[in-house]
Amino acid sequence: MIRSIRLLVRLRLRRLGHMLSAGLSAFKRQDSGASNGPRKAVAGKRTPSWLVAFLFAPLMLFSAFQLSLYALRNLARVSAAITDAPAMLEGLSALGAPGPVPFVVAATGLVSIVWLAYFLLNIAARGEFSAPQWDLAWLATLPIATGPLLIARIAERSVVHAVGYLLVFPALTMLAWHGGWRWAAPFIGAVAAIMLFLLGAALRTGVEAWLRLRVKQQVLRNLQAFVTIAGLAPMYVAMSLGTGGGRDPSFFVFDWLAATPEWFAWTPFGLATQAALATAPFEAAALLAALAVEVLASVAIIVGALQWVLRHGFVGGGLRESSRVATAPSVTRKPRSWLSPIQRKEILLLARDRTFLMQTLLVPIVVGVAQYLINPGAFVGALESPRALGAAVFGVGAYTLCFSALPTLNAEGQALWMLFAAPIRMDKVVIEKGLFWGSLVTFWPAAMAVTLLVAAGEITPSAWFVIALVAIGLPIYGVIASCLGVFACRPLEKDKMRRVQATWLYVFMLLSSLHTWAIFAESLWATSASLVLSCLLALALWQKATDRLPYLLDPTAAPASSVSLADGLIAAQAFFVVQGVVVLLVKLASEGEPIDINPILLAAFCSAAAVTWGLARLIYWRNGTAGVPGTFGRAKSGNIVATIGGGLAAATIGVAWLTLLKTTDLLPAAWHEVAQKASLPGWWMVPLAVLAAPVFEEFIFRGLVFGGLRRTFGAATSVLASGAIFGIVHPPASFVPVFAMGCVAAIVYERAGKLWAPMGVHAIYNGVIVGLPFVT
Amino acid sequence: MLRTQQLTKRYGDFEAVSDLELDVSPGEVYAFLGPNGAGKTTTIRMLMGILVPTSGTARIRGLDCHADRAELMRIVGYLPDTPTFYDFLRGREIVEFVAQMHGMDDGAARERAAELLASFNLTEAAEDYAVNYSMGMKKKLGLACALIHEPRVLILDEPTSGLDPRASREVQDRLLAIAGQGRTIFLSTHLLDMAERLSHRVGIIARGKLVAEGPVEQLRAVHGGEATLEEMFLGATAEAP
Repeated sequence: MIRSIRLLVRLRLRRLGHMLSAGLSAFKRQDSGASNGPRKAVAGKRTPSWLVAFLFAPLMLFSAFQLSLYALRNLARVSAAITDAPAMLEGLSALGAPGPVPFVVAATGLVSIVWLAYFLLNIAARGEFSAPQWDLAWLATLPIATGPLLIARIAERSVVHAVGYLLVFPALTMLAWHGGWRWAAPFIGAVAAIMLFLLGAALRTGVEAWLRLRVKQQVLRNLQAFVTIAGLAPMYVAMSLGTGGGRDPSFFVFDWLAATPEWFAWTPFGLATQAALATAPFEAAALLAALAVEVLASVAIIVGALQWVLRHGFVGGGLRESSRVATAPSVTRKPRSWLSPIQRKEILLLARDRTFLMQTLLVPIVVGVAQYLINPGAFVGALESPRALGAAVFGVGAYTLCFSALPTLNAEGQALWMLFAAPIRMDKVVIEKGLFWGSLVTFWPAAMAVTLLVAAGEITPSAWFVIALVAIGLPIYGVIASCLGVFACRPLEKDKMRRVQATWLYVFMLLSSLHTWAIFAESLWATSASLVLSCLLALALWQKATDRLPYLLDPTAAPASSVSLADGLIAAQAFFVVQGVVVLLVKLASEGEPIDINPILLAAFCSAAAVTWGLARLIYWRNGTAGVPGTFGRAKSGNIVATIGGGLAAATIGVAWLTLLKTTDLLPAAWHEVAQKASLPGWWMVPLAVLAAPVFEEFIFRGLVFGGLRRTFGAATSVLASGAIFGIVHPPASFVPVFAMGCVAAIVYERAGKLWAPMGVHAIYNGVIVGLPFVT
Repeated sequence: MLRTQQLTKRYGDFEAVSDLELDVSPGEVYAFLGPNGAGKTTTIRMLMGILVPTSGTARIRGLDCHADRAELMRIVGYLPDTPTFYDFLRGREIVEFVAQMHGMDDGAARERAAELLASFNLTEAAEDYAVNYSMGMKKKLGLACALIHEPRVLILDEPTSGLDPRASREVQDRLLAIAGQGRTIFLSTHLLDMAERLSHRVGIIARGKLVAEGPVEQLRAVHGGEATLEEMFLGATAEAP
């Protein structure tokens, strides 16, 4: 039996080892020498997620110890107050606490909660119930009797896990530390923890076997989902004691702990707690021995019961037999034609698959409640500020999208071939799914409206505005999430846990903060600009996803590089960031002395443009990118006359706009002020306006942004979208003429196919606008 | 009808399919034979636009299998080697879903699904979750999905592997009937008697290369007229170093 325990443990550890080394191999040099070897499996694209876990483990362990210590200190403070200070006692009694509570009883309650979290999360982490095969049934085919097999399984499970070492062991160790054991604390903590692990493993094995024999596979899988959520609850409750919630003596969890029944002190949890708090080594040893006896007796009872349950063998309800569901065949529902077949399938799965339902719709609620437990202060005043509430609501919605729209292709799983065998473009599927999830989570802004109505009695216009903003933002970000999901998903990966690359979740959350900014922005202008950027972001990602999708199921091939909208957005971003950095550096270098900013702006503009242009060219050259805009050469159609005409037309609009601003007060006052206060531009403005700006800005905004858009979208969409982004990077007062100039330049570029044409338009426009003050 | 030219797929150093030249005429049943790992599934996945050729082209009715995939799927039906279906969807719902994806409205989809499920003797199991089907039922369900839009071309990866003799015979009879309707069938298999019974022509692939091609009788004549297909297969696939 010892041998079988050893073998089982070794099997588990070896599997863990393989998972670790698979992660580490991402850093190993590819060994391409052995070409004469047998056929090699195609290496999947790996990320070092296991390495990350490996690096984070000490950090997590440390914070687990720290949290445990804080939780116990908070608990000690409250229970000490209960016994020592009558005033506090009265306060607590009013809250329903039954009277003075010894620290040991309250601590037992805490240990029980921590153990419960370990027990549930361990089942959740292994996905035990959702696995179609019951590995014990396979092990039973080996020549070992059922009794020793069960004991081996329990022993193995009590050793190989991560959750227990991160939850129970730190809690017990810090308890012993608190009890005055100092450096002997880890020892006592470890012994007590191992006993509790043994109890957990035995219970888990028993529950699993019983369920496997009695319950249908589908029910088991749904149960798995419940366990996952249920495990989070005790974990967050325990965590809340060590964080924000625990600092408040009237925190409701203290009441729960105070309600721990006295007899609990004699359960394994109580004995472990008592041992940790014992004052003499003899006492501790006796208590640990009592704990061991209790646990071993429980294990014996469970093994005995299991042997009886398994007396007819390991075959239970089975797989196929259990699936026959007595339902009326073909439930005829009214066809909802406004949903696509894909969206209807998604609804059906959501209604049936509890795991899916929990992960997508319930986890965000649980996490929200957990945030409240850990940091109650964060929610103070949320109802009074619609913007803050709206941002929070959008955050929850976006968080929901992380678990629904983003992994949406992974959700297809091994059935992805069905979509590939259907006459539909995959990018359409991705958009449909993104819109579906984005619309589904508009549940959150609706809930916000209801909450405001109930709590405040009315919804102010500004609150309506925020609610609308959130409701518009979510479908846009649903599309963004599902497009990012194309890159996050590895459908060829066999291991379910490795099919989603978690990094992309962070990328998505980071991107969605852009919309949070739109909600918080003070001016309508900033909000609209942010919305335009979000839409362009969605378009850019959609384009990238469309490029990638036909290659999704091919482990080796990748789409050929070609200029995309994303390149344009990145280049524009780099252009502005470098400009800012140069100005900042010069300001820092001047050490507060007054400087003439204008030549610096010119230098910053040119250096930023040169860096951006150079980098873009270098990257395109290295990747052999297709569709890189050409500057000179024969125009496809149109000629120099069209360029001059376009430039003059744009300039006319510009002059008309300026006149409107200077002579009337029809537009926002701030805009008029800008136009009227404008002084005569300096000499430095001339080369900037007629040379540097046209050359570099046209490369970015027409060459990359418009060119990138045009590859996927129609001419009209591309003209308007590239004009819009060009407009919003300029001051609000000049949006209209700049937008018009951008559109004219894009049309000229579309006809000519060479950048000199829009550069000419831009130069003429700028020349007229800058030169006008000199003339008048 | 179905044509590949110098079709090649490389995974790193490993050449799974190299310079494959296939030409299948309309209405023909073509059996693609080869040992495990010879490149059959890789070829079929390239025909389905799921894998991208490293070089060369694959076309069906003039449409590029990768670039024009969505368009092509209107006329192609596909059965993968191990059809996997959505969890938590019943057999009937899956066939209806595929029908809807092919543009049928709900009523038509329901009718067509019921018709096909009945013809594959799956009516009784139609209300079960498809993930729980046996391999034979999954293959039949996959065939029902592949036939839903009455495609001109059927691409079938090992349609009878993992089936018991009765189910295997059932599927083969279905395929014969489908071939009788003038549809083109491209199927991979390593069951030689099936290839002999069903196909107009066979192609034998080994280590990614086509090593023999032609009607079974013709191949037999080359081998002295007496050889069984099995002997020819063993001979053809053993030659490469």
